[in-house]
Amino acid sequence: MRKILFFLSLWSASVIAADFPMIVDPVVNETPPGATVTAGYMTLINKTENAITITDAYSPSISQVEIHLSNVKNDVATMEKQDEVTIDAGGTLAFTHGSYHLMLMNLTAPLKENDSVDIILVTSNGDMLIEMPVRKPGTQTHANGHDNMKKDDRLEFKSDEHADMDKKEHADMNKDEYSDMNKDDAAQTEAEKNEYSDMKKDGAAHTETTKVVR
Amino acid sequence: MLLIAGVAIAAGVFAGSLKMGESTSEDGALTTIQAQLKNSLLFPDDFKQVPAFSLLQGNNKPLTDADLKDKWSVLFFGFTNCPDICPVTLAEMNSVVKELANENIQVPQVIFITVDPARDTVEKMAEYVAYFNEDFIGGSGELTDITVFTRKLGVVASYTASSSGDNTYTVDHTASMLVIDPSLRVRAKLTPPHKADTIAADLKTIMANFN
Repeated sequence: MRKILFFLSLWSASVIAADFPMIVDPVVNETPPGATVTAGYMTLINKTENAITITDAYSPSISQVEIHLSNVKNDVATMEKQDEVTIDAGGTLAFTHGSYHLMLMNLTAPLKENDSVDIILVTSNGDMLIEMPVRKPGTQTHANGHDNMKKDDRLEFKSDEHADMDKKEHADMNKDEYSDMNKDDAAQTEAEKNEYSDMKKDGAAHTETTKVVR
Repeated sequence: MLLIAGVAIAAGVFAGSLKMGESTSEDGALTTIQAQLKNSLLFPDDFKQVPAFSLLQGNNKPLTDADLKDKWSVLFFGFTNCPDICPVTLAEMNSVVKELANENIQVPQVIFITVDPARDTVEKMAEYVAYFNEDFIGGSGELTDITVFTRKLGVVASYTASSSGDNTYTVDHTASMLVIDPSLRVRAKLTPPHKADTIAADLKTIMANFN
């Protein structure tokens, strides 16, 4: 039944491709031996004119996937399951260390670097499939870029600022990392455009989405 | 009358300022060092000592306060069913010890103690920390021993049933790491977000200033 749902979701995904969030740098943490849970991260960019809501996530290979929000309050680290997350129109939402993340649970086998995990996000515009490569923990911090910001910058990070990344202002930032980030994201935007035009042509091509561009 | 009152007030102020003078010099030293720290909180000399404790590490070897003597240690508390904070923090600590070793600075021992011994056995903890760095120490033991130990250190942990309703639970736990000096004094806490270069810099400052 799961498999039928899975293929149906792929089909429906190809039909409504245009209104999905763009997924940048998806990554799943490799599991240390004995661990049965791990985290998945990515940046979601909503280039449409309406908010997109994600209400669920699942995987054909992992029995339980949830959306969680890490937080530190009064020096206590907490994690709360989220029933839904919203990406504002024109906005960005980061699934990143210390913030939103996918929690992959009840793993029956370890996830090793260079494995890949298929995750389906249930969005308000239909189901979308993302392929998430597995990397060693800590690899994600540059990929999503924002962990390199000073602590204050990160706390003030608003989703609409990320949408400005294509603009010149961002390249004017002092650190070298940021001019690199600008280039990388331009490259990613190109790659994403290509991915999406492929998706419209052929539903089956959708299974090979979202190559990670570094 | 007024004269006596005036003298008394002056004496009071004088005595008060003497007292302030004493504490200012100790505070002054701490304040100077605190100002050099990027993301850590320094404690006064007599803040806290690591209490006697008796837990276990890999191969059921004992892990006690004796293992912290004569070395600098970084103590971190968490659990292996933690998908985000714990693994990334331990990965950062691995970068920290490598960075310090590269600069020929003494490397503190990193000790990760579970606050979820029901699921995190001694073997599981040993395997888990070894993945991040073979020299890291993973500790587990009886829940009561761990609870008493963490309470005395001011570390907290609480258990919340998962809303998935499947008998799983998550553990909220103190996010900071404790820095312990070779005399078992709790010298500082490394506060989140935990970033390798910031932690390395702060550890250098702390270890250089206290022994």
